[in-house]
Amino acid sequence: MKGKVVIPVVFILLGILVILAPTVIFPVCAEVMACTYTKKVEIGLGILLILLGAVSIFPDERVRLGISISLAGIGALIIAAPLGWIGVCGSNMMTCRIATRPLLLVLGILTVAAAAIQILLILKRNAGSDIS
Amino acid sequence: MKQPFWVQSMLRKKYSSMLLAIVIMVLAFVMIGGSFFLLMLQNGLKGMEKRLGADIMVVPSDCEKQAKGILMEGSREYFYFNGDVLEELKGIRGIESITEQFYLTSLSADCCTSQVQIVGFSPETDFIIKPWIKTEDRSKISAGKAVVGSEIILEKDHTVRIFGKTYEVVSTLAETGTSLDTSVYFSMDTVPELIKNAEKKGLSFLNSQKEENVLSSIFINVEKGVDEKEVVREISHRKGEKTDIIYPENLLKSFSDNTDYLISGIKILLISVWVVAEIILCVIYFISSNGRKKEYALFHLLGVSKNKLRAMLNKQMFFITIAGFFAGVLLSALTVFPFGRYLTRLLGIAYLTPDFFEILLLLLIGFLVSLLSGMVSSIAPMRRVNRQDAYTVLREEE
Repeated sequence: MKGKVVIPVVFILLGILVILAPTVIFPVCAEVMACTYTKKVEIGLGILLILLGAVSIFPDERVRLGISISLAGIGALIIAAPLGWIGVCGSNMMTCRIATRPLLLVLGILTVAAAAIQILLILKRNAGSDIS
Repeated sequence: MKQPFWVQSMLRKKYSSMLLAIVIMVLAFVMIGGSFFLLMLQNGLKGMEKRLGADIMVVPSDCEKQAKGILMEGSREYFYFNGDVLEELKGIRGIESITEQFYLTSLSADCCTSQVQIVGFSPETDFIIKPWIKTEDRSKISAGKAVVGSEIILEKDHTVRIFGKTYEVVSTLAETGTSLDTSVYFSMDTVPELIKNAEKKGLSFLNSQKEENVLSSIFINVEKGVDEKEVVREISHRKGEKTDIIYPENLLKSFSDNTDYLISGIKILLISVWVVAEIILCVIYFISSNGRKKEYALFHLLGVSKNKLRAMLNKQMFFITIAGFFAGVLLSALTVFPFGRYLTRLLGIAYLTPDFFEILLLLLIGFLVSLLSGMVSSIAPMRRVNRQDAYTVLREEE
């Protein structure tokens, strides 16, 4: 039962951090550059993470399993955006490269890990039933 | 699948095992993170030494602060004086080598990827940059060719594009973690051309930058056996009103003194964390083994020899240590390692990417400390197993 509430709360917190990372914690460059678009995408992904995280409290295990799989995908996108998908500035003098990017990578990895744990827990709880 | 005996026994005491693992995790995290920090500071100092390669630096008057900024923080500054100063200083006795540099306004070329500092230097007399250029490349430096820092991103054909013109790159300097990394170096005779091209691209320059025969700073090495003060006195005598004098080595010394305090502070912190963690581990393990007196006694009565019992305790502690250590590594991999470069920038020191062996060493230190702590904390419970007499223990419990 505990896992059913704790992990969604973790998702919501991670979502908030994903939004704050490029805006408040380590703001990206003021001029319009690659990091600007990464910021926009990450804000969107953060909002999705919060919404889906909140919905994953839903009692139906099948729905929760589906949501968890999509959350893992969102985690992967959070990682991909500051890397090759969109990218950040090229110079190591830039905060977006040396601080924002590593923070987003860490948050993305944690999201994927939390989603994986959630998926495993659901499968374990329902072992033997038709869901697995 | 049936779990081995020692695992079952450990799982029965799930919470105390977890508590032990958490303490070891924190210990490993602090040890690895703290040593990483120490490593960064020491590497940073090495980088500083590379940047400060002269006994005396002469800069235009009132520019002392900016020049120090260039040396210590790698900031981008520009200031100029007339090139005649160099000619006059060349005659001073006791000077072993003297060379000049010219700093061009820091420029951001294409978007943010290449904000570069352009430095003019004279390859014939230079002793600041050359030590970092491979010997075989040194002779290739000539007008229209560039030497670049490690952070400069090159075109595919090993060239660099500046103000619409492509320059062949002769050599890339090794990483220093300083402003050297984001600079492009040209021989002095290329500087006027660079200014012209930049103006064509719409950049405006200060008049002082466009004059011919202007310099930003002069670096001097003093002959061995000659008093530095004598040379400085002579410089002030000849050009006192126009120049400021900086002693890069003194700057480094005062900086490394400060860093030394920081380093010893961190070392004290690491040792105190270790001691506290060790005490906590001993207490937890002792209390938990206290509660298991009866369990041990029963094992013994059931025919498990004391040796086997000790081996079981060892296995459990080893397992807990490994689990705690890996959790600690994971924690530092997520929190400390990714932000190394950012931390050093906050501290204003150079950042050199740690190499594979340095990281391996850090992990080894963390592992040995965790293992040692685990072993020490199991001394008391082990002695209990050795001394305890099953019959008395069970009688006590009745």
